[in-house]
Amino acid sequence: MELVAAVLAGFVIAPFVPWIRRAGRDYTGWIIALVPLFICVYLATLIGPIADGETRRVSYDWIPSLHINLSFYVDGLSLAFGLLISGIGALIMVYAGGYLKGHHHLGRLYAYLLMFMGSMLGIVLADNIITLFVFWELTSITSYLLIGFNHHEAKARSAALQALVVTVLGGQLMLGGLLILGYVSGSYELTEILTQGDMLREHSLYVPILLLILAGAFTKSAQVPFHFWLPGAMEAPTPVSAYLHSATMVKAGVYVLARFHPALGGTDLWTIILVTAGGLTMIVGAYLAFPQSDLKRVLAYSTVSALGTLVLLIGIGTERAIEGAVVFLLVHSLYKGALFLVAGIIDHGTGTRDINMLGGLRKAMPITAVVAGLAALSMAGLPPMFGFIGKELVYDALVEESGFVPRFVAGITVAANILLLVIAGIVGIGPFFGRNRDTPEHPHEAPPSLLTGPAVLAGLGLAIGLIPTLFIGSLIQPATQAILGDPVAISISLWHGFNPALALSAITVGVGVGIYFGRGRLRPIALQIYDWRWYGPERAFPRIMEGLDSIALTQTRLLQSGFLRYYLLTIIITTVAVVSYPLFGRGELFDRPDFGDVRFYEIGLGVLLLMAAFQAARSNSRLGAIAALGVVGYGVALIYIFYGAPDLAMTQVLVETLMVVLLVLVFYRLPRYVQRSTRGNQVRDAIVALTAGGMMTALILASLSFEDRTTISAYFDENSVPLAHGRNIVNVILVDFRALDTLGEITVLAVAAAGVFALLRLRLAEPQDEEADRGA
Amino acid sequence: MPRFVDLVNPDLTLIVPQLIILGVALLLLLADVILPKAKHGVLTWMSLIGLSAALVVNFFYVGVNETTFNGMFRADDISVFVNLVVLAAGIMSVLVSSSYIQNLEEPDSMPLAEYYVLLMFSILGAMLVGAAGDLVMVFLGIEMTALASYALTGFARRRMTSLEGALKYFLLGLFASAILVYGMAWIYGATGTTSLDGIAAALDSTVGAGNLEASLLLALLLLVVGLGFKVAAVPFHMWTPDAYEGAPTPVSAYMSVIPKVAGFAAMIRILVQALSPIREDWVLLIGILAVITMAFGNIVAITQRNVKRMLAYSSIGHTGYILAGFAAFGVVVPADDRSISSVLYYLLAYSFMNIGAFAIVTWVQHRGRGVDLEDFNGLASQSPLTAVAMTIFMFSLMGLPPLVGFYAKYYVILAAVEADLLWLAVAIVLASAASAFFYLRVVVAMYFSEPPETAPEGNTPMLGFGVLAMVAGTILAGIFSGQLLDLAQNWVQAFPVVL
Amino acid sequence: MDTILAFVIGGLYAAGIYLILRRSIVKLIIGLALLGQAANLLIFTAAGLTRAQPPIVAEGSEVPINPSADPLPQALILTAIVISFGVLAFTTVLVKRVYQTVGTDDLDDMKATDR
Repeated sequence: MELVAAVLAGFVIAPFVPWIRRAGRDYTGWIIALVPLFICVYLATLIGPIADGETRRVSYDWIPSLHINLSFYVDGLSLAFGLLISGIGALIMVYAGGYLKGHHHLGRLYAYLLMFMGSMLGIVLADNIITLFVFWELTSITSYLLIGFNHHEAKARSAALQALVVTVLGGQLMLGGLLILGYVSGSYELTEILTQGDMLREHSLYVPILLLILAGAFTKSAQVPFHFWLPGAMEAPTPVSAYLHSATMVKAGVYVLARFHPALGGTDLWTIILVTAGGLTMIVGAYLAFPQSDLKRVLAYSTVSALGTLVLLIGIGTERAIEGAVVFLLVHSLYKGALFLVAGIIDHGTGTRDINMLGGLRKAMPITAVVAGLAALSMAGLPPMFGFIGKELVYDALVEESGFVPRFVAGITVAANILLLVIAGIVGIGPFFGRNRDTPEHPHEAPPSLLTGPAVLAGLGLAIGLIPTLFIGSLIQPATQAILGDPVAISISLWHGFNPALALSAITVGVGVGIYFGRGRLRPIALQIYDWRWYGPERAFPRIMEGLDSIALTQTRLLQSGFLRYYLLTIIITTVAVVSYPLFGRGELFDRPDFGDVRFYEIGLGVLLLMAAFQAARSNSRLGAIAALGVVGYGVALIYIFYGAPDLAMTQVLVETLMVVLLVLVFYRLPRYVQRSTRGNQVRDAIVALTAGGMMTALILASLSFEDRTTISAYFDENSVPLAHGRNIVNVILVDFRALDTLGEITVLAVAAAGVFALLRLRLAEPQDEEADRGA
Repeated sequence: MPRFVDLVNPDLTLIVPQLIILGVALLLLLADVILPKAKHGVLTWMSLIGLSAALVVNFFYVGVNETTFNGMFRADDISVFVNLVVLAAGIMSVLVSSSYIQNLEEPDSMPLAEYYVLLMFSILGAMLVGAAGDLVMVFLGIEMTALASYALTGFARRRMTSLEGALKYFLLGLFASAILVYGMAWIYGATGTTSLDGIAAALDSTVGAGNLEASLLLALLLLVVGLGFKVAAVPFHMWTPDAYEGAPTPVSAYMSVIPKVAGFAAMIRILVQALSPIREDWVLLIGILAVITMAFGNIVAITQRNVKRMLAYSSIGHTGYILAGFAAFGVVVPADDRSISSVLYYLLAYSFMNIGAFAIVTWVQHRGRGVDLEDFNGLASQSPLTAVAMTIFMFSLMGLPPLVGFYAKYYVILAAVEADLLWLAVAIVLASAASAFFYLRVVVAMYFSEPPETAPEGNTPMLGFGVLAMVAGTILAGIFSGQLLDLAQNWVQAFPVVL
Repeated sequence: MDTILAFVIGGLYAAGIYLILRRSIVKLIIGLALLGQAANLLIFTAAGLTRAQPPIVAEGSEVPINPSADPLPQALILTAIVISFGVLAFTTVLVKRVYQTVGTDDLDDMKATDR
């Protein structure tokens, strides 16, 4: 029950934010932060039981017919994520209050943030995969609202569109994967799916399931080639970037990978895809971060790199690697969150985020400088920070295995870490040292509301680094265990003794420091190479859009031309083609045409009708055409008389007369015939018309093989007089046996009449037309 | 064979909802003559009350499953759900239209009464299709709906596109009807009856496994072509963009739903009820049609800059998803068969979100703007609530949870997956992923573009109320979809499925 | 005679289709009228022709004299004739409307909805 409350709290409280804001004034942030704080405390009470190997699960029926249950589940993995989300959430709420102090729409921002937090908790606590997906897409929506907060710049538009399109696209694919997964495993509850790993990995649908789910995870977690949306999302206000785009939402993809690891992980395909994508993302992200000058973009690309590292580690999947992934996940959230918030403080205090314009801020912002320094140390992976432990573990997991591929991956990882160290220096150290520069605003220290968040995060990084045992048994081990699906024993400490990992760390630091001091010369070079990204996915996205555009244009030209006769032509040709298949392809329909028993006048009538039809088709005058039409009508009436249908003939003659009168009256008001079509068009249309006509002839010939009198007709014959007391059977059928049809027919006529009436009553604006109207 | 005895005493109690609508239509005609022009606002209320009354009465027929008029008319659980969709859509259409008509009332009169009368007949037609027990009845209902639609399409004065759209819609629709009725004639020829149950029984006794007679195949193809037109399946969709764009926007809203519902109801009656013995021959055909339709509609919608045209192509895409539900028919035991319930539920979901989207277009137009994407620029800052409503409709059409569009799409995918049609499920997922592009474009325009200098002004209480109702529907029908799905799942009790 | 009628109907269809593919809306109406005739004749023929008595029960008898024509298709065609007249009337008015509004009878000029 408490679990459900924890997830839904954000949604329930969001609508009341305006009132909270009215009551809380400038302290709104602190008040709202209580919501995530309570959730965090509640989750913290679960640490003990979960570490002892318990799990918590609640389930309510929601839409049973869709297999959607409101079921939530806590194990080590969800708990670690849940604590991150709620804990950082509380800090962000406080920070946002200071950052957007007095902003007109601050209330709206809080509402969005609360809903986002609820969605995020929903993802990591959901036991039902469809519930998980519902919350997954909710994070997309709320994140979109947050990116779009307070923005009208044209540049932001395409960025936001890209961000949302990419994540929604991936989400839809993942839904397909989840559905097939649920279908294959016979359950939509994670707790049951995760026990069926062996069956799933062997299943013939394993590959589509895996690829579809990976599509969702990779787009959400900005893996290459979908990485380009994340820097675009930096248009959001800084607290949002810190919360969504570094600490939580982008890690949702990582969560899904980790979550499904026991069910889908461990195969060759899994390893190959994850290691390739993760490794590539790691190095590409780190590389792209290097030449950036906007603080937030630097951080965004380095986040991409970190996400790559996480995916890489989950892909490797050894005990050490998973352990490394869990530790690095926590490490990264702490230092990256802190750095983002520091970036916000700098932006807030100086009016710029351009690192070329920043320097020597340590005097004006001493506390910020300390906080930033700690976070940067952690990011750089230097002792005694938590980051050091994280990096050591990652290296350890990589050097554990021998062979060319692991060595190669290890090399890439070292390269990426070198770059990250440089970047840590650029963001965390650079702005505070060196000479003072002119900034748009005079730099000043941030208020407590802004400092609390980064200080807590950076401080935690230091504290855990110093006393890592605090967290191993309680958080890291249960999480690792949940990802692996097997019990593990873990030992982590700051000092591991001399080992290969330490040697790699030494190389990292040595080379990194070198590059940092040479950055002035190296960054322009990197910037040139950076421009090559236009040949990568960032370029592909608009290209794909252009491609789709041209497909649509082509179809418009071909099919949607706007010419009615081409529409008709398409329909006729399609129908003829479709119908020709059973008619001629099967070849069973035809009886031999029977020309026996034909009377002379019948041939005459037939020829007359054909001639009249031909005349109607080719006549050059309106009256000629109407006359020919009349001949056809009366000819048809004659046929009805010949073949025992006097009622029909009478009706036909009446209607035909009316029709001719109507046409003559109306045509008088319509223009004369003009020859418009080209000769070629006429020939083409004639061919189509004759083909269609021929097909109709063939159809009739085919239909003649049917029994000519049906059981129903016999029934009418027998019962017309006894039941309905009528002697004209046709009439009896119309007004009695099938009276409902006739009622319908009358209604249809009434509708037609209403339509005619309405059209005539619609008066036009142009006076001359109104005159014409009145004349009619 | 159908019983002929009850012909003498048709059970009128079974057709009360239809009679109410017919009555309202006649009353409207009467009121048009009696009431002075100034009091024509009453007509709107009459329509609303009539539709609501029919909607309420409709719920008394849940689980009835009886026939009358010689088996031609059925009050079963399918007709109940079709009525639900059609009447709800009808109420929403009236709400959307009323402001528009009043707006145009000033210089010279818009025939308000005829508008509502035609709307009522169109609704009645769709209800008749849903309740049809006979091919002739299906055809009559479809034509009644269609004819009214043709006339309504031409309702915008001073705009040649309106009449032009009407003409194209009408002529192409006429063609479709001819093909449809011809297909029906062949079915009649092959089975000797027009009763749907009778056809199923006749086919069941004559059709051997796998090898379909050419005449039946021919009939089937003609029917599929004809019905394909009515629901705007590719390649029979050409009339849709022109007609939707040409028609007055409230009419487009109505047109994108009610005639389409009638078409799908006809598919249920003809393909599922009557032709279920030969399902092997049509499910694959419908499945392929579904994939082509959803792919085409969603891809072409991407380039559209005119929002009405975009919605027209998007509605083609949704036709594809609904067709996919049909393709899943009859694989699992009837009690678990979600195919038709997914179709029914999708129709309901679709009517909420699609009429909703058109309602916002109407709202924007009503305030003197156009229907191009640029006309939505910056709407979020000038009219935040409207922008939120449009965003909800766009997200729902896209299939994002927790909105009704998600559950509808999910349910169709589920039906496809359970029928072992994985290719179809994946196609739906891909198509709906592509649809994100164009739906989001509207949202982005509203939130990220500079608004024009003049703020939109206008007063449309009815429309606002309608939008509110549709937003509520889009959200609530999703969250509480369990009950609605159970209602839709009743379709398995409507008639014994012959396979 | 069935066979001859089959060709007559084919001819009517061909003429009708040719006319509705013209650019003039007037020709379109004529084409539609021809198609309507063809469709009625089609049902009539497809249901089976007999040079027989009309389906009328003579005085004093309970059932029609055999052989008599099949009453059901006749009932259907009667419906069809009336409906096609209604439809044609509607078309004619619609076309007249279109001509007045658009000012041309050339269908090719009516593509404002497509850009």
